[in-house]
Amino acid sequence: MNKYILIISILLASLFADDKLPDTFLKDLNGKKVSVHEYLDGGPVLISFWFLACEPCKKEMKFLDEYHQKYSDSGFKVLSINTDNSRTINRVKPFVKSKKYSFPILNDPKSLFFRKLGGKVCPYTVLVDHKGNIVKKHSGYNPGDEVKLEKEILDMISLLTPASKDTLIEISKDSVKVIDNALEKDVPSTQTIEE
Amino acid sequence: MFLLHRQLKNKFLILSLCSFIYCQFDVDFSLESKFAKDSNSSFKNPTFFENYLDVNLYIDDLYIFTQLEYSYPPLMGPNQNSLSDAINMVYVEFFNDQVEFTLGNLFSMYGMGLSLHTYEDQNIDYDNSLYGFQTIYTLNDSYSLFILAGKRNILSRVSPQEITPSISLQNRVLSIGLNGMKDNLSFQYLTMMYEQDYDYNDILSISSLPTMLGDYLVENHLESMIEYEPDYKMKNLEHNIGFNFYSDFFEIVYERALIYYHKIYGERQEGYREYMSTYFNLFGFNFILEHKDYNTPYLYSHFSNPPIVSRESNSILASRNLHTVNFNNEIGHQLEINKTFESGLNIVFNYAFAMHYNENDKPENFKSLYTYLMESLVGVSNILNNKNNISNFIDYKPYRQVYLEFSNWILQENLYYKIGYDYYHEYLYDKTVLSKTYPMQFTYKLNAGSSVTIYFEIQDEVKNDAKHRYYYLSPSYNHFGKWTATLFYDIEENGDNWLGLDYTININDLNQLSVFYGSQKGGLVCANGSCVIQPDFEDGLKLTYRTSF
Repeated sequence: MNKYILIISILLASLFADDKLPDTFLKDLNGKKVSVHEYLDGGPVLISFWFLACEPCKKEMKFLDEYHQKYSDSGFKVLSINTDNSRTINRVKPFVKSKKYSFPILNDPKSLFFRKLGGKVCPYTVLVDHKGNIVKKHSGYNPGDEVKLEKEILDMISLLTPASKDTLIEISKDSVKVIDNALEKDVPSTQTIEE
Repeated sequence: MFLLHRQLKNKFLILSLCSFIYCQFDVDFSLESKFAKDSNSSFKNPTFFENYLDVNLYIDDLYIFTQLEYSYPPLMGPNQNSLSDAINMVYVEFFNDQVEFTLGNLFSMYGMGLSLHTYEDQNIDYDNSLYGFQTIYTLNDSYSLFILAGKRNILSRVSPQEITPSISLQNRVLSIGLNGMKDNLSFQYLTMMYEQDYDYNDILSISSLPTMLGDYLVENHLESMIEYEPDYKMKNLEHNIGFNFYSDFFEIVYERALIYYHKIYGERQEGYREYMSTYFNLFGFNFILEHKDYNTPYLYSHFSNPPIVSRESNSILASRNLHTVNFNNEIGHQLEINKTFESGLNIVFNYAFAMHYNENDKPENFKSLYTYLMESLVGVSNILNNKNNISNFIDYKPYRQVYLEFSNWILQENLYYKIGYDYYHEYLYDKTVLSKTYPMQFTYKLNAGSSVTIYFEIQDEVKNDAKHRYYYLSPSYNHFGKWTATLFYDIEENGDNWLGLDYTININDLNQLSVFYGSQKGGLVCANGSCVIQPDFEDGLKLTYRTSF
């Protein structure tokens, strides 16, 4: 009976729980220890787990790099987390340098953070909003999936700044800009917003 | 007394209930279920039925991970269908800016893993994590201390084909380390003491290994072993030191471990493991040179999982001739050159070469850096000239692999191609394998969000003078990320054919169901946007369900 009370209490409590991004310390490619929560400042984050022998992961990274650059003005960033362990970890840095990726890359060689976020197979993508809540999770990547992913990123960016009378979110094909105090800056109210 | 006990228990439960509700609390679950039925099994008695439930629980600053398993029967290993076997792994983690503390199953990696790297791999049913505690204590911005103490009965196999593990060694480990970091230089020192208990059956299994340790046991102790059935206990000591220096265009990593251990039933031995890696950028080309020298041939080690210094192939056919690294006895190097051009064209060239120490000797002049570089260049030119100089090293069971790859997105980034060439040659204890593989991959993006991907590969293989030709074809269609259909067609010329169809549906962002029908040759399988190692499967049905909530 007591066991059931305990289980029910856990289940009840889980109803009140938020799906917050847990924190952990990981090392960057130069071996410097950083907290994952450091990357949450300022805007939504897309966390992507990958390893070198994962072909779909490498295909997806090209698009993630594009989105990281395209939406960085809106505070959005991609945080790439490599899960290669000691057997191959030394080849990660040359690979990343040859591709000239602009997003930050951390190492999770024991896959503990991957496991913490419920990862089973790579590539594994976790979308985190500006409040640190986990919004979406995706396993695997097929070419074409990046279209849906971009829409989800745009949804998160649009939540970042609640529409107020003096805030303008300018979404064009190539960029998203959030203009605060738009009225003070005399931005024309008829500015076209296209998706 | 009984009443008091009961009241206390109830108070504890009420307290637990309140603490769960009022503390910062989070719990999430992820589940993976696999069911398979081939031609020799039924729905009631399937080929395998495995279920893994991961539970992530956060209570304030504490994190608790639990993995529960119900497997009846599993793909590999013994049945896990009782409550006492249900917990596969559990650990509690606490950390702040200064301390990281873990209690339970310990997954540790120190430096490049030459001495200590514990991990779990479901694909091969292996888990060398220790039960105990570990702490990393940060002294200041530059230095941190590491301490680990744990023990575990670690199970392993003589051959990957064994359903249940035949070796079961009790290990007790104590390890202390120091890490330092100053500007672009980092360094570490680790000392590790461990005891290993071998019982007679373990030693008998180890004696069947095709290694120097196996040969030594058979030649020197087999008769007395069978007569007296003696157990054995050994105490080992490792000192591990390493450093890493980097700049914008150059990086060097070096690690060396000195190992003091016993031959089973024999004298004290001194061995070492050494690893060096150099990365540099020259005219926009990225070079990485790696060197390994793992020399503890009479040790059966569980905790050393250092760099493989060979390529992990992502070609389906090439990965079937994967070089199995002997982490106790191997010397070799690898060169990789990587360049991405302005047009997006990416070229990868990889060359790997390795040998093993034998009973009395080691290859002369092999270790010098000059030989290391020259061997790479000579090796490449020999392969281009179709010569075969590794036959000079047959006594050392050599392995050589060369890989060349071109890939790019073209046609306004709608068509992706990857074309490669893989040359593999290895002398093993019981066979010689030479193969040439031509892996190709094409992806075409259709309208917004759907795509077609085709894997096509050809392989010519000579195994002990017998020639084989294999073809692999796998077209796949992704329908706007909602579902994916993949056909697998694996053909051996004048031999077996394997045909299978996979359909995967993403029910929503958190639920995915895959159905496979047909036959599949074991090895690397790429479908549904991910690549995983799969076992042989003949004529049946497989279901895989993944969810997280």
